Amino acid sequence: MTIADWVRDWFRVTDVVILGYFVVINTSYLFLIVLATAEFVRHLRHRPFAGLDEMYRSPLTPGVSVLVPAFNEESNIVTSVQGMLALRYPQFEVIVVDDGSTDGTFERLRAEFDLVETPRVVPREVPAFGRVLGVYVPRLSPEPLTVVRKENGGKTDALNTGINLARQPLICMVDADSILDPQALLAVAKPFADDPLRTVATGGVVRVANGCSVVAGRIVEVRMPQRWLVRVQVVEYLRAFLLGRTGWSRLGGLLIISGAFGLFRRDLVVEVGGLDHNCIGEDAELVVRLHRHLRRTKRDYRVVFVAEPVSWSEAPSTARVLGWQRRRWHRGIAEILWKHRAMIANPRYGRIGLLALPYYVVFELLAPMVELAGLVMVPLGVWVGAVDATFAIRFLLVAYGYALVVNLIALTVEEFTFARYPRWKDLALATAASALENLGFRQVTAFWRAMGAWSAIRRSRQTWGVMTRTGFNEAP
Amino acid sequence: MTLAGAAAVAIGALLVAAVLFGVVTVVGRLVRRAARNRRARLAAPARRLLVRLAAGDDDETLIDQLVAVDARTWKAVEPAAVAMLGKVRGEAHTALVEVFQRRGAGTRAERDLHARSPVARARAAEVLGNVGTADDVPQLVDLLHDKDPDVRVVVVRALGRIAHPSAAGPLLASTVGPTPVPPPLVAHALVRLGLAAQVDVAAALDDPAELARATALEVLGLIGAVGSARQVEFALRSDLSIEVRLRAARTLGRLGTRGALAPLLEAMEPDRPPALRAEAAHALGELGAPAAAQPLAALLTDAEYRVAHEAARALLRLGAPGREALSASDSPHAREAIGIADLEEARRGALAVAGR
Repeated sequence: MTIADWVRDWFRVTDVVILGYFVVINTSYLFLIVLATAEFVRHLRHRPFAGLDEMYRSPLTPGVSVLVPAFNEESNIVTSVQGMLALRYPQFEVIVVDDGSTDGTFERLRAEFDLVETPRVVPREVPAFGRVLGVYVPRLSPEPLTVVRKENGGKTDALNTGINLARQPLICMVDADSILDPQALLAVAKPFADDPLRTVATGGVVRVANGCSVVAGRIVEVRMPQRWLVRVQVVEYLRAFLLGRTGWSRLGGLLIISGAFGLFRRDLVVEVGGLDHNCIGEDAELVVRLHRHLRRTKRDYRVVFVAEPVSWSEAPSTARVLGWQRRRWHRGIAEILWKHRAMIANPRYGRIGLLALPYYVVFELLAPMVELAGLVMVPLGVWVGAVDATFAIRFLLVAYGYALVVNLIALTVEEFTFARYPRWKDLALATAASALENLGFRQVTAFWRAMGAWSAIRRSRQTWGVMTRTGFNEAP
Repeated sequence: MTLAGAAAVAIGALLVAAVLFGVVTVVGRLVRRAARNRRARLAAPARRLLVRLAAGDDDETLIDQLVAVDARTWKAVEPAAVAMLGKVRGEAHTALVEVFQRRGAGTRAERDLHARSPVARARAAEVLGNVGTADDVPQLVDLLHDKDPDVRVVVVRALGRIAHPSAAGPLLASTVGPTPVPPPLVAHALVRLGLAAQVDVAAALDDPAELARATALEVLGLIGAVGSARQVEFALRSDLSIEVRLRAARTLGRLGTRGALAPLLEAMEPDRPPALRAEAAHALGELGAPAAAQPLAALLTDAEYRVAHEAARALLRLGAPGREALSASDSPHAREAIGIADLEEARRGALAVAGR
């Protein structure tokens, strides 16, 4: 056998392995969608007797401190805070932590809520390094709002400062550009009320706010965004965040609760030392650390994902910002998996160690590398004559066709459960975006994600990048 | 079959699946919209009657008209009627309950309590909670040990809404055992029973289960069971569980009896757990006894943040003696409390001006 034969054989085998990988990863998505569908059906059947009204009236419903880290969020911050203050919940406070913004974030808040400085002792129950410059509250209105100004220290530092200041037993982390459905806090806190001894964290759904109409901090009309780049993210959020995480929750292996909308028991967050300053995916890292801590101490606990109602967030609308976001997300995954590598395939950590974490290694961490390898190896295989051109084309059609079908199934599930996009035009756009995700978007984001993994390996300096907000579409 | 052949078959299957799911989505939307419109059309006349009933319309035939509505129309309007049950009070609520009862909702629910489907059982319990009477309590109590946790939760809420004292004992017992119900839900249901449940709830203070004692204490405070204050004081002093003692301190603050001062002051002593000291400080603020000012002032410089913080907030509630103690202290917690007091005063002033 010549060297050329060896090379051809190698390409042939590699190409088949990559095809197999695509089939397995999409099948895993499909499996999660099936689990999520079962959970949605259960949720919808239980909705008539969910008891949210009673929870709202109960004097025993645990209070919530809503923590809003903000850095240069002047375009959205007032709308977001207005929405949060209007949430339907019996006892809560909103703590905005202005992390050294250089724009008008604080001035907008001061003007809108007539803020005045008040003396406040900030405990150091979890590590926070940025010096607190002042604590402000509304001067004449009794709204439960606190605004903290501090030196810039990053999102983790801002959240830890908020945790230190929080006075309620539950803390809800929300992005400063988030708009919560009025019932969102009640729904996401419900598992804590129904099962207070075991529930330690709950995550809410994050959907894309771009294109939706907003009035006084409330989403009043849901529409698909104007730009294709964001439309594709709508479908992606639907498949990966709504259905994927619901599926993992059903499996008892939920690893990621988005920092854009997550609720935690404050005492436990303090017990594990707050958010990790050294990890860029601080939200997911906290969840993994909680799993680790609670499994090691052999406690019975639950981490739950709540599919409805939701938090709406502004998704990146330019390739530059999207690139930053995806590099950051993937770097976060790589850092978390490295930090908690002792848990991977370790039976001591149950489903988390044996199922969820290995899945994240194989189908999240490695996915962009395999995707990019496929893009390079398949044409090379054709070029060296290892793979027949017809087979290569069929290979690509199967790989991307399967992904498209998975997206369409996700849209069908959405249509039969929550049906958030009522316009026919939006349904058509979502269908088109499902196809477009596979034609360019996946490949480019795979490149960014691979770069994120590389920066984690190199341990280069962590940067958040600049999330340029365009502001919500405020209806007149 | 070769790999290439298999890929071709897969492409065909994927094409069929894509078309199928597209069609299902579109047809599903069309069908559901048509059904929704039909329901809205059907429900419209009955809905108008419901709105008039909820608004307290004097028309005495309204109940009869709603009872006479045909089954299809009632099915369409029933979700709105159920939603209204949870919102209206007084005569409108009684009238609505009568409509449900005369339409046989209670009888159907009693039958469905024994259905195989847990969703059907939970739905039946929910209906009985809305329209049921004391006669339904024994059947609901049986379901407190249903094998489905969601059913148990709905049953607890239903018993709370019916609010008959005979449910107190079984409710308390449901927090422990192989199929327990979360204590806060039980506590809320017991609070709705009010003082009528006091004897049963107070008896649970001797229960060997920590959860039952803690729940009972929480309830006694919320229903204002001052008659049980001595037992609560005893629990604060001598219970072995810190969770129970914390709740006992909180309850004494809520009850506000004179005898609570001494045990609460004892609970603030330095050798007690910090969480208990903080809770006792908070309770002393609720109690509002000026005699607590000096001991609370001594805690303003306590090394434990929560203890000092709660002491400062408690002093604010003691009126002039507390305010004096805060002014005399150079503790940052005292400055924080004074800042809050100034703000609240300014807000009250602004409200008074706006009122004029």
